[in-house]
Amino acid sequence: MMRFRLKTILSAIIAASALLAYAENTAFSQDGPLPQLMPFPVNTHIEVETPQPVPLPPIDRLEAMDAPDDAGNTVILSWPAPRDEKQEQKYIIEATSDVGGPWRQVASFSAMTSFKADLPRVFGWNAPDLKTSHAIEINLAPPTRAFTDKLDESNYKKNLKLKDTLKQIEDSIKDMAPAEKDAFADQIAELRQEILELENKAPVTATRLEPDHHYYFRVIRSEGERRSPAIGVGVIPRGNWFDSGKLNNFAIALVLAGLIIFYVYRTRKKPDNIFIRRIPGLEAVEDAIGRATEMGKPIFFVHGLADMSSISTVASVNILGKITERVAEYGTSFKVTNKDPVVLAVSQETVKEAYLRMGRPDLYRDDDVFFVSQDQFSYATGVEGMILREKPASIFYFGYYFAEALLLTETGAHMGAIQISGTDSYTQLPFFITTCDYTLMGEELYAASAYLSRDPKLLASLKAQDLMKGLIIVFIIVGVILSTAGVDWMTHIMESF
Amino acid sequence: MLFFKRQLPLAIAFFFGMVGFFAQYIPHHSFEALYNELISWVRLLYAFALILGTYSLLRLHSKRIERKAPGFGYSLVLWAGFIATFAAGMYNDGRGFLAGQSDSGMLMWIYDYVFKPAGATMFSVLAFFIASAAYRTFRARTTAAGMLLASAIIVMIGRIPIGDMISEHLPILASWLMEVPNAAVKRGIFLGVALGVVATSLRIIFGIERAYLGGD
Amino acid sequence: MRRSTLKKLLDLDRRWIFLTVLICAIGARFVDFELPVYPKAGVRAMYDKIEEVAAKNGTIIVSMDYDPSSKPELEPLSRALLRHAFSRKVKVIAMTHNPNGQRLAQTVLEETASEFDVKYGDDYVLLGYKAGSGTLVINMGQDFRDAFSKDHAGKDLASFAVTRELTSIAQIDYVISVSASAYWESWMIYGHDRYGFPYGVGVTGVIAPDIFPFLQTGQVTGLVGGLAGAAEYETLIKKPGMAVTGMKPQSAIHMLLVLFVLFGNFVFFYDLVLKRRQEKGHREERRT
Repeated sequence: MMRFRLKTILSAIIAASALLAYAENTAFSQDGPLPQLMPFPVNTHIEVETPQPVPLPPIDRLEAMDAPDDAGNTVILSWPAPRDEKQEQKYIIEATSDVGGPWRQVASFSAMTSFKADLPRVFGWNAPDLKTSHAIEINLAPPTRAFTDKLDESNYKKNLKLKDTLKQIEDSIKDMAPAEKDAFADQIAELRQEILELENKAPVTATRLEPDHHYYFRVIRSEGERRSPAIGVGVIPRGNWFDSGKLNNFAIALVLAGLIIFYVYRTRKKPDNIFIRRIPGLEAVEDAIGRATEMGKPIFFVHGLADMSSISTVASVNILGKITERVAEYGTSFKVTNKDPVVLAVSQETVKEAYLRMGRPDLYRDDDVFFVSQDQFSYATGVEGMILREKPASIFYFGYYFAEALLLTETGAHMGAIQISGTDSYTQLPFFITTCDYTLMGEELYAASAYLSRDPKLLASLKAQDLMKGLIIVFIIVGVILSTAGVDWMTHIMESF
Repeated sequence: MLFFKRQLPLAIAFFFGMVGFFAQYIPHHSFEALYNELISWVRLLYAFALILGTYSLLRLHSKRIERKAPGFGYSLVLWAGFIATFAAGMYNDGRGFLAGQSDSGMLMWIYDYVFKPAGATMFSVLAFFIASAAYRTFRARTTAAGMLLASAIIVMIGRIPIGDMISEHLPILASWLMEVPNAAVKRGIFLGVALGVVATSLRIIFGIERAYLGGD
Repeated sequence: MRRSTLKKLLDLDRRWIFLTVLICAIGARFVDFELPVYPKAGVRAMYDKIEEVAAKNGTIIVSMDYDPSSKPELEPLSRALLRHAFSRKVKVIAMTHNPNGQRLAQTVLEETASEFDVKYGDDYVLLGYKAGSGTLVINMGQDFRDAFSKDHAGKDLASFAVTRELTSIAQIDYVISVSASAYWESWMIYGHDRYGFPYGVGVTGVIAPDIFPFLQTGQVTGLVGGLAGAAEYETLIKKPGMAVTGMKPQSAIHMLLVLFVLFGNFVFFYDLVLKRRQEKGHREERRT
């Protein structure tokens, strides 16, 4: 009985959320009293123009929808392309936040362009009218028109607020008796006046689309002087809580995360010996430190150019900690050069902690982990100078490098230092390989932390990563076969938006 | 104490990591606002860190000058350069340091006539270093190295007019090497790197990887 | 040759190498020799495309998306392209996505235009720089005059013959991006793929390999890579310029590098042979 009830509640929740998701995505007409199609009269100033050219026939069946998967500043308009469409014709799209206007042009495009086929994430790949119906995304995220100063921005906000208040008042008095309504007349008139004044300073009228506000759009065909009557429609743009275009990406991320958590959990329960391939570059770390100690020369650790938000930097800081531990055993002079001040602070902490862990806090000096320059070539020149003057016996390069890579490593090689590098910047790999004794390529850099520490949890995550790689290889092979055979559903599944 | 050195940083990493992760999938304007707010915190953090970096650099070099360490003359040059550039930046062509950056004056002069040529010089030194590195290290020690060497020579000659003089097939072969095997390897490395980045990020978010906090 | 001499050669002071590179680079500028430049398929495709546009009296966009740091490598191509277009009376709309590129684009345009009988507004227009990259391209496709209503000097585009009838980049016969960074991608993803105009790319030598796949799929019609590509283009239009001149030092340095590598390997293997022979000699000595 209990189980049944749980199931019912669950189904109810699922059904409710599905309904909510539907409501969130549906156009304005579904949740407001306004009709879905609202033909608007031709703009008055066009009518008084003389001599009046023969008007074009208007478009038919204009539809507006809130754009799926957006922040709430985008709507999509669509309509079937008229049969008499010509290349020199244009569509003009105008918008307003009040049914009465003023209307403001928000987009225009040449006829014969902008079809539903251009928006596959909305209309799919197979709809019959992809090539015969126009569709345009109107994205007016703030700020599309540059606000000249702060004052305008605050006026804009004020204007928006007043419009909301006005709407609320009008809605609440809708059902009142005429006499009662009159009581509010002055207040409403005042509000309208204020809005009008603000509208001149910082117009709200469709300069941008604010989420959850009413907007009206109309489409006019034009060809030279000729115009068509305007056809209009209303819609409320809404923000979405999930970008369904990235569902594939999300699923892959979840699978990888799941694999990592699974393997880490399993290793914790029964820590088995996970095999890890030998990485010669990391094996050589010990020798490089030993050699420097024997020669009585310093060891250099040269950070790459990327900042702390780059994974290669995080990986190199991890390696730095492990190398420092080894260095502490020998008590050799150890210097760390930094290009980024945040990396500097993290590196100082890492080195200090590593010395402390090995019981040698006396070895740490703040000046051994230092900042050189934030500029690429100034950094390269600075480090090169130090290599030439201090003649280190061993140099480690870990992180992301650009053109300075060869400048650094070639100087190190010239001074006869043992050089070990690790980078994921593949344009610089050839230079590292030719000038360094050992090079960790690409993902080996990220695996280094696990390799040096032999921490079962880290090794377990490597296993998950390899499994994921296997999956990707399978996907590539199957995808290539299917695509070659002309079956493209898999391509669409993997498509990124 | 362990709370401030372990739990709190891990919690912060988890929170910011998760916000960053979900920002990729949640387009909603309110979430976007939260994300933008966090991004501006990071920018603020960097401004403070730069002061830290400058302090570290200047302290290192003052110590060198104090100790009269070998090559302390360079440290003097660094101090002089720092003072001159800093003063020029503050003076800001007479507009003062509160006004926006002027596009003329001493600082711009330093940028145009010291900084840019010095940078360009370092960049052009690359050509010389490539030659020296090629001579010293490009050896056909193994079969694989031999193949690499042969392809390198084909591409180097195939992409210049002399390649056509030697044989009309050479440029075609060079293009093939660049377009097929080279592109394939690049994609392979790139996929591995991308996967590694995702896995490392997840390890940090979940607190499995914590070496960046200075310990395991 | 003795092994000690070989050792010395193997550990040659790198300053000798630097000196050789310098002599080669400078020397090649002054020594008079002819280099035959044969245009590759990608370069020829761009040339043919412009000829095709010329035959129907069409319009092209040349987007010079580079800044001063990559000017030496890319400007020769811009110059050659403009010369080709002007000589064949192809109408040119020039612009840049790079904020530091407007001054460069303007200079090249004015200099090349002065060599031909062409008039600003009737035969070519400079739109200048506008921010936005990808979104700007989309905008130019949806409504050209909304994206650019005025040229770089603030004159209305409706007053120029080149742009008067233009409403979308879909009407342009050929778009070429001369690019030093990812700008070429904006043109392809947001321009070519959406509006379908033929699209050609000119890039630095380092970027060129990234574009090969798109040349294969046909998303890019015409690819000119680096100074060598520009030299090939100059040869096609029979007007050798900076790129062809630049081929001399570039070829010389490439050949020098090859020689260095070959020589280094020769010495390395010769040393190996000598070492083996020596060891064999030692063994035989011991036996006797």
